[in-house]
Amino acid sequence: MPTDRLTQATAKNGDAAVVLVADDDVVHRLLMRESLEVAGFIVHEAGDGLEALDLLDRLHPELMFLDAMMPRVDGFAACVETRKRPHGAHVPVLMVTGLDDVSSIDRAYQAGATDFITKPINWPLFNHRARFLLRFGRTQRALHEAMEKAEAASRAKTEFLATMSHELRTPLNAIIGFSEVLKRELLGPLGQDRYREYAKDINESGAHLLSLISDILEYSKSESGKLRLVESEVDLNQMVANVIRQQGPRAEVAGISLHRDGMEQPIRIRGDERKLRQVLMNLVSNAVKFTPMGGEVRVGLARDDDGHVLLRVIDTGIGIAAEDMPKVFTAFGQIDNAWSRRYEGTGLGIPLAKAMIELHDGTLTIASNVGSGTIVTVKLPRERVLRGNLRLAATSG
Amino acid sequence: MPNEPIDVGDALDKATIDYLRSLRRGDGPSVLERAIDMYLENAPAALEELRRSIAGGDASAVWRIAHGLKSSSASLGARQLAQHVGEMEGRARQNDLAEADSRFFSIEAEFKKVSMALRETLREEKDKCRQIA
Repeated sequence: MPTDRLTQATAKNGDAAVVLVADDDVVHRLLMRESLEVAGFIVHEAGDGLEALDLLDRLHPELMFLDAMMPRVDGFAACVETRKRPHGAHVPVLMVTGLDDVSSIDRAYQAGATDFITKPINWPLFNHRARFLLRFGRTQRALHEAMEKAEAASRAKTEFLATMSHELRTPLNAIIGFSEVLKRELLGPLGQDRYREYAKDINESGAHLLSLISDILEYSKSESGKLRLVESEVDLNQMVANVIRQQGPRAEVAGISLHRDGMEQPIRIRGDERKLRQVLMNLVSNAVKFTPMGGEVRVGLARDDDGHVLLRVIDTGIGIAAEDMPKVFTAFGQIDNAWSRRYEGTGLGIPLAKAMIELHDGTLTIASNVGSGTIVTVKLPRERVLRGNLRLAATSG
Repeated sequence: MPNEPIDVGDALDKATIDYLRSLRRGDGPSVLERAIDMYLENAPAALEELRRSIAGGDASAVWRIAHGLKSSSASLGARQLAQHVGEMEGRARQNDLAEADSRFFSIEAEFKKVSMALRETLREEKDKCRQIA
């Protein structure tokens, strides 16, 4: 191996690509080397597949030529092995085959070769081929690295959100707990009415902040696929009644009529009660939030013709424009305009609700008209419905 | 036909030789020189091995040797020779050595032409180098 010439080439061209040429025919190897060196490549030679793999590990070439037929380890086997090695997974590999050997071209691609060239080599085109593949390989590697970076950044972000949310919850619990003690004057009177008001404000703001942080934590869990269902028997009828009762006072203060839509339906399903409840609470509280005074919010529970469960929240609120709909389903995507800026929230409610319903193999869809209202439909598959609902209802009623 | 000169005119593809000649750079022996030297050094031994393998009926050895000889002959533009050797390679691959003896005969004859043509080319190349120097 003429090392002096090699170091010369490296010194001359710091950015030159290292190319590996594996061929058992010394004449052919010499011609390839010369051709490639004239084009500015730094060339290393291997006499068979085994030597090629050894050089691959040591030199990390940017381009490889593998002769299909070589003693010991042939080009196909070397190519398969190349793809398994850390530096070989994405390096462009050109298989050199006989012109008359169509089956080996097929084998070359199966072995993971990027492309093939046939012997005798068309020398004037050979360097262009090498240059093209080098460019291709570099582009692919850049793309691959960018993707890995993006994935790592996304993982780091999710991890950060989860950690932060957890850390923030600890002091918040102290704030909520002690303000509760103050608000209720458990250790004695506060004296001033304003102090009592402040304690109440601290307590409520703390609770609100806690719910936002919980949303973020749940969302980051759902993004990293760590959200799991804890399944049990869920009485949806009771859940709807419960949520309406809980949100009633808020609706009343806002001058909105909140009630059931249609008849009560005894439906029991298999699901995660806490998550389903959180979804319904979120949808109803959203509906109340975005409905002006004098409007109404209805919650419907029914089964469709195919037996799937439909849970609907219908409001007469401000509605969502078609062009804003994608944002509603995007995390932190609360529509940013003068109208909605006064509505507090993380913008996580709908993405989180959707993730939780999809975890139940269901769907969450939104139909809306600006100015006239929104209908959110949660559909849960009939496979989740527990048998004996009707009989249970009949015997208990 | 003792003194009749062998016609080597079409033994080598001119375009291939011209290309190899064009790869010249720097000082020292040119690429074409080194390639021809390498070929003339290795091919006779391969040919001898090929003869022995045919005599021994070792089809897989014939296949392997013929494949290498075909490749290097084609590299230097010896198309006719490469084609002959390629045919032998193809048959040996099918484990067929039936007409290998007569095929070997024509391979040997063609090789004689090729090596004469290569020597001639080598001489021209060296003359040219000397002129340039």
